[in-house]
Amino acid sequence: MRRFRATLASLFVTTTLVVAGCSSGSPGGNAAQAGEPVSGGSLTWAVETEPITFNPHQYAQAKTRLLVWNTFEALLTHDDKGGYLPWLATGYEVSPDGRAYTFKLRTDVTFSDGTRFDAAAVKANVDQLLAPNYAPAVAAVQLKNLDKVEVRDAATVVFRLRKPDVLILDFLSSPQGAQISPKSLQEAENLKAGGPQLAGTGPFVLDRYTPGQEVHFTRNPAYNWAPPNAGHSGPAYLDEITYRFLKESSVRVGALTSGQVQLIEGVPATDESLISATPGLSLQRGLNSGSTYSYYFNTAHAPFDDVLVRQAFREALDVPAVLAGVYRKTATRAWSVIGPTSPFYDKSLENTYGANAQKANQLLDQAGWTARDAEGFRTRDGKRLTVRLVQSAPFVRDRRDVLAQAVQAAVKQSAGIDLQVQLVDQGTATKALADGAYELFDNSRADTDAGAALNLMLYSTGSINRTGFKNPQLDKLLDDAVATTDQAGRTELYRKVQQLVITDQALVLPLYAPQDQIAASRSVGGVGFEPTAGVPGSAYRLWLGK
Amino acid sequence: MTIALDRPGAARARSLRAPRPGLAAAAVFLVLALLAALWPALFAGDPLAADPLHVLEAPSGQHWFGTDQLGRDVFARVVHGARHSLSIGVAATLIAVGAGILLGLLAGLSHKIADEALSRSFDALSAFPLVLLALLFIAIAGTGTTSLIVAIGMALVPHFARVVRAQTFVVRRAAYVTHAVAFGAARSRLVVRHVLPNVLGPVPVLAVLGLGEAILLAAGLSFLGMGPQPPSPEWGAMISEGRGYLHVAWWASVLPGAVVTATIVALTVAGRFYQRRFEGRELA
Amino acid sequence: MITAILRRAGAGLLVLWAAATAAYLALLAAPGDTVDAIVGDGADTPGIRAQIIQEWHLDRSAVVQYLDFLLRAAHGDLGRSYLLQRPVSAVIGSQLAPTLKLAVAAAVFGVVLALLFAVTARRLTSTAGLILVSTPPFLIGIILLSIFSFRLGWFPVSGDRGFAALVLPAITLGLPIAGTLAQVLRDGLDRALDEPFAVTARARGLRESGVLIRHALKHALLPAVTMLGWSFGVLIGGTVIVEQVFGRPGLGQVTVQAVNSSDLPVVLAVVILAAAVFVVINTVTDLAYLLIDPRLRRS
Repeated sequence: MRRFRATLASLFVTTTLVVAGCSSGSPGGNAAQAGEPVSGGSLTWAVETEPITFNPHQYAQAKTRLLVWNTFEALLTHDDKGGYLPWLATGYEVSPDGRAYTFKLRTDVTFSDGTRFDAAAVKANVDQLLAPNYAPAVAAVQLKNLDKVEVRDAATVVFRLRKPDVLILDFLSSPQGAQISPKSLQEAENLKAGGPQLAGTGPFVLDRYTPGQEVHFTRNPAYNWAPPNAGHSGPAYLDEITYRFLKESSVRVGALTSGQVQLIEGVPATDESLISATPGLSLQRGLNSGSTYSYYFNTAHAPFDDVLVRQAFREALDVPAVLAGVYRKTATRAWSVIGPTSPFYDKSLENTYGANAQKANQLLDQAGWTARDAEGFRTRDGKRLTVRLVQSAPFVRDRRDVLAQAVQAAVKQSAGIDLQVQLVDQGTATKALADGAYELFDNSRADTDAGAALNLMLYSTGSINRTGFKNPQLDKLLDDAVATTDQAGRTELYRKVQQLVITDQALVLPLYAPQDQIAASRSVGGVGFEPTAGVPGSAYRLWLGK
Repeated sequence: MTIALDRPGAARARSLRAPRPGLAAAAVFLVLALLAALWPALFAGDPLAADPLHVLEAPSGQHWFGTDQLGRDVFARVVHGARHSLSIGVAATLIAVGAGILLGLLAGLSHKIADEALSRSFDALSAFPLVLLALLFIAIAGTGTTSLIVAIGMALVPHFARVVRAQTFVVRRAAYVTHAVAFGAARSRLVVRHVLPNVLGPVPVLAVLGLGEAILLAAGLSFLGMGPQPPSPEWGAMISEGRGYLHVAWWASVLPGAVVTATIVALTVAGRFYQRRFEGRELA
Repeated sequence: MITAILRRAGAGLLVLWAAATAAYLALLAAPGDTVDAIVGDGADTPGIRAQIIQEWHLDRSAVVQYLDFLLRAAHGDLGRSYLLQRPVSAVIGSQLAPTLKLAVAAAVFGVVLALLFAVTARRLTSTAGLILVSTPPFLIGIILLSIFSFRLGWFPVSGDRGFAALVLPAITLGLPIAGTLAQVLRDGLDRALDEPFAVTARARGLRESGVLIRHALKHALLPAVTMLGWSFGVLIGGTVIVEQVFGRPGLGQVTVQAVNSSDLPVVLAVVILAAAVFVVINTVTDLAYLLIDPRLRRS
């Protein structure tokens, strides 16, 4: 249910970035134990999140991305350096004005229902995405600059844009840009829900879905078009794989340690010691792409309309201390709104603020919050320095509610700030946001191109701009960054954005870089993370050793 | 725990005689719980003091119940939680008792059709899953302590209403009421002076038993994430928060759970003791 | 008898309508409107909102939507889930079997355990039963899971695959039922054993166990049957929590998800279903009385 809309991307990225398996709790890795890749066998993988839909066009949960690529594929895929690799397309060209993207397609690909993959299929998918009442969010965000799609010949398709938008490449590498058989698009009974009726081109076929319980995939024997970074070619190693939906983390860990499943994702920090202490299990972590988990200050009213108070809140919090308390040593502290694995990340922001209670208190004195009430909270004109953080319970993950409590205790102690954490249902949360009844908004986004996340959250008319901050200069920087095809140019523009937002305006309090964890039996080989996205990879690379 | 609330069968019963030592233990425990709810500082320190350096530590001389995921003392939280949990329970029970008496009297005293409609809806509501009722209410009113209290209170109303209605029927036909009617007593006066006091007999006992149920229901709803806001140390919320750490720190959920169980057992033992006393008087 | 059944059916329909209407009104009053619920925490622009309103026909007045809902419900069409994009009947239908399986298994376990306790270990019953019904069920579930699945590996952790996976959830759900039922049975037995017929039976030289099983138990069953309807309420409510603990598919999971995300059509369907179950159980209970106690047949 964690919704986010990925878009994104960056063209011609040159900066090197390392995403997959950033750090690892498994000394020695697990490949040695699983031996050489072998074909055959079946695996069971316990995952936290049950998809609300199996139709990739409707994709909205980063946690279910690992399922999408089993059945569906996109025209391009991300490499691990911020660039793109061919997949269903063999290559592409951009016109000099940046408004036409021409793709050459593979000619040897068929959907699992026997339909041929060709330019007409690509057009059918885009037409479907633009159909009324089908995928309004995709049409309004990722495809907002798309003018039309032209079929030049069976193996050539052209995307024409109304204005330059490099994020179209990111879209064509994303689940929403994945290709569904045109036959399924016409015939599927519950198209928006997806399931066994939707045919894709991927290495597995989804053949059984039991709601609330599990989804089962069988190998696609005809598969022979893996992208260059997939680790191998030809059909997948595994005969079949079952993903079971186990929401409770303690249940997932118990299922793994007792040998009932071979892989799990989503391992809470407190259980990591248990995994490492169990012989035969390994643990890997990957940092996600997109925006970091951050608190956004609502600048629309007091007290955060005052930049001094925003700075004070940031100084009042010793981020590493609260992270260590909640996540032990497993969390990666964030310094910017952009994640540290993105090519756009501005490293110079590190160690420029925070964990200075003395400064926090000075700033608050300066802002007029000088008095203290009986409970030790600061006041101004008899009004307590109270700020509210509204969390929607269904969307809370990574123990962010616990983290909020740790922050609450910390800012009370160091600066007398009264942080009220409200863990509420979705309706109440939406209403609180609509009414402006909040001072802090928390969020992270898993977009593969961080620029897409910033467009939504920082742009003055962004659909999840919760800071109420509107600044023409910021809008211009964000616009230019999307229209620029040159990677270095984009990096420079996003550096300016981060300076403005983090250093000058203190709009954001970055907390940590979201990550995924995979714990697996050492008999499983090929366990890893998807390049750039940093989420667990599909089952294509997995094999079961002796 | 719905037991005995509205099942006369379960209620009577000499077999429910709790052993004396049990009654004494229950009484001591309830007094302690009450003291904890009124003056928690007597027993323990700050329930909110987080200590990132000592998270999830096992029970020891310093932390009797260990520490939780933020390094807070679980014992201190349990003690302070008595106020939250008991007041949620008491408030919900009061709502249920109040509305129950009103509706029960109304049904018991009205004409056949109105009575039929009312008591049918009590039946329907009391067979309707409590959790579902409370969930629905929370979906409407939003999460938070107040809606939790009202949700539980509303879910318990039918129990009280049914008993009061049945009791009203008995009283209505009793000789002193028929006599009063014969002497031309006004209806309102009749209700207030004669019916009400005699109908209320079983209510305190039911309220004590209902309190236990309210606490249990609150714990269940907290587990589903519909409980009081963090960081308030409500018992159900503590069990629920602690469950994610069961592999490494069983005490964070099991010990608050044991306290919930002990409280409800003690309430039930005490409630039944008075129930017997009450029935003894009635029989005599 | 037939008029009684017909009257029952009419009253049942009334209950269904009342439950659906009450739930509809209640959800209308919930914070945030339907469009908010469908948007969730995703991208939110006026354009997207307009499309959602158009797709779900939310521009009609509440009264029209309510009447439309009633009309379609009467034809068995419960609409589509906002969240899952599937017909509600498919969402509920696929989850009905696992929940029923769990409820029945728990009921059977609860009744068997209660009979066992009430007849054999009558002293122990009140203490053990009391503790069982006083412990939050999810705590029992978590502890059972830790011991028997994670530590000992006797039972699979979850899911709905075969009998073994049913054992722990059924025990968790059945224990409180057993605790309550055992006490009711025991009270009934104790009372029955004091009745003249028991004394007579004893006087005829019947052994105590014979008196207990042949005569007293039958009498003790009547109050226990009264508990049937109540038990189903507890079972259905309990599945909400037990399914969550054990990661089992079922209506409980669907309900919590629907309530959390204000998935109105699904919530309404669950309410209607629960009301329907209530009506059926109530009717069955009444008929069961007639079977057990011949005296009632005459009236």
